[in-house]
Amino acid sequence: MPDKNTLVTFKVQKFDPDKYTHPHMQEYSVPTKRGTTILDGLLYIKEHLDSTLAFRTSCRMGICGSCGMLINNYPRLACHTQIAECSSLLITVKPLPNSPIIKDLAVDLMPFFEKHKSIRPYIIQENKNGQIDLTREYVQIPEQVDEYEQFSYCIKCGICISACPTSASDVNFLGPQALAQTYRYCADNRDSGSAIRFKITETDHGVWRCHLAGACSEACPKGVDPGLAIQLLKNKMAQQTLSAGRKENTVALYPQPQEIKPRIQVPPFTAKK
Amino acid sequence: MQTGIKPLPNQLGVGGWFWAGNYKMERYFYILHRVTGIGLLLFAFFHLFETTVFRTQGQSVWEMTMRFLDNPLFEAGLILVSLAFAIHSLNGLRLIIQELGFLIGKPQRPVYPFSDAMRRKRGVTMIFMVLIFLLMAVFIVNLLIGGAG
Amino acid sequence: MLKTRMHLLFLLSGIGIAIFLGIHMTVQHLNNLLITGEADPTSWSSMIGRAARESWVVIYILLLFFGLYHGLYGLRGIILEVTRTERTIRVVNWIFVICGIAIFIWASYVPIALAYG
Repeated sequence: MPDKNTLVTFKVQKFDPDKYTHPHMQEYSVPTKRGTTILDGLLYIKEHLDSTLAFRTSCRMGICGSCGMLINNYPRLACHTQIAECSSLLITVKPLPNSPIIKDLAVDLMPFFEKHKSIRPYIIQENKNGQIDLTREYVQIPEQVDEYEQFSYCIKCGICISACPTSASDVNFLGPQALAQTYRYCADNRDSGSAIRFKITETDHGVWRCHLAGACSEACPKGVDPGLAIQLLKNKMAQQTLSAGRKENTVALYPQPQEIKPRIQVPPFTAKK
Repeated sequence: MQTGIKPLPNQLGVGGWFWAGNYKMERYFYILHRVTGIGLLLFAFFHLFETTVFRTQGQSVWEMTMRFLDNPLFEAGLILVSLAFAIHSLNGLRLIIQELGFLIGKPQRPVYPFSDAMRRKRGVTMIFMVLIFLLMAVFIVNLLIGGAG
Repeated sequence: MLKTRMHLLFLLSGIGIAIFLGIHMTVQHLNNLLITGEADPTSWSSMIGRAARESWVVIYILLLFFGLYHGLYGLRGIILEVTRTERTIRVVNWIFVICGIAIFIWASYVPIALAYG
């Protein structure tokens, strides 16, 4: 475990598209102490050793998903990984695999976001008039929330894509994140777009290319368990195909309030003229 | 949006099937399942050829074929095929059950330290692993008793 | 939901192979452990004896169908993972369909011919 001001060697993959055609590794010595994270180390390198080092960071507390990287050959969030966890004084940092590299540790996540957009990641619910009712809430009991809540915690960091063996070879594969979000919306009782999403995921590069390697769930930093969501999605699709499952989600609206409270009058001295 | 920058491809490719980090046993069962599947398919084509072409040409051709195949190299191959069958069939049964959403658990609110369904249901994987070893042992005992069939 | 049906048949054929190939492996390759096991299941007389029984013809043809479908669908899935263009996928699909049907016709003709020919 690193003690106060222990020197740790960071071996970082560097790639500058203006100067090189291939990435190379560069070593830096970084002073660390107990509690120092990989992100702290990279920020130290950028501030004191190499200002050209490029990487993404934002919240520094494991909620935004910006700092996903391959740390000692395992995809993690840099802000969420302490140097002590790596059990080594040599830390290898590379960009997330299976996403194209823009520069150094920053990867192009646009293909990942496009796949996420393609599965319609929003509630699809139409009332009799073909519109979403915006005047009242949909009824949803806690048990119905439990069916999808876990999968709604996805922070779109891209770590599951880098762990998935199918994503390693198939650039057109939708990926664990998109497929898990498909299930998140199909399992939501407020949503009635399962049929639309099943058509999107039932392609040659869709849900049936997942073979339950389980690495996505293992690597996920937020416990979203995309692997579980994908297998539950397969269950739903199989039920739909065999017509053996429950019908499309139907959701009720909360009834209109019986008593409408009068509008509070704004005092004259606060009202703008 | 980037302008004028062409990102460098960074796919692990087929190598990523075999290794992409230190993952748990389901990941390695995945690649074992793939390798045994391809091996069994190749053997199946060879076996179909042998049992269709040579079976229809009479007793002498059949017995000559069996004598040709009765050597240690092919017998070792047959043992490997038996072991591959044990792995692929039992792991396949596990995958059929879990891929259709059974024996895989239910969604849970994630509480740190996170635990995924594969970890919670690792007992299922272990049971199938034991069954695989038992079936492999049966084939090996059969070999030790009287040679490869 | 054609692709889902194809995949469900792939899973069903896996179970079918486990059953029928299990029977085949037990008789052919676990003969030393079986009480009723033959000394040499690959001998001509043993093979002809099995070929003459209708139950074995049915087992072989079902095993052939399940094995071909399962194996070729699985291989197609692996090839799809390394394929990028739609045209290549269509060519691969047609090759697998044609080869699969041809092999099935030829390989199921042999046990039928031996049993009834």
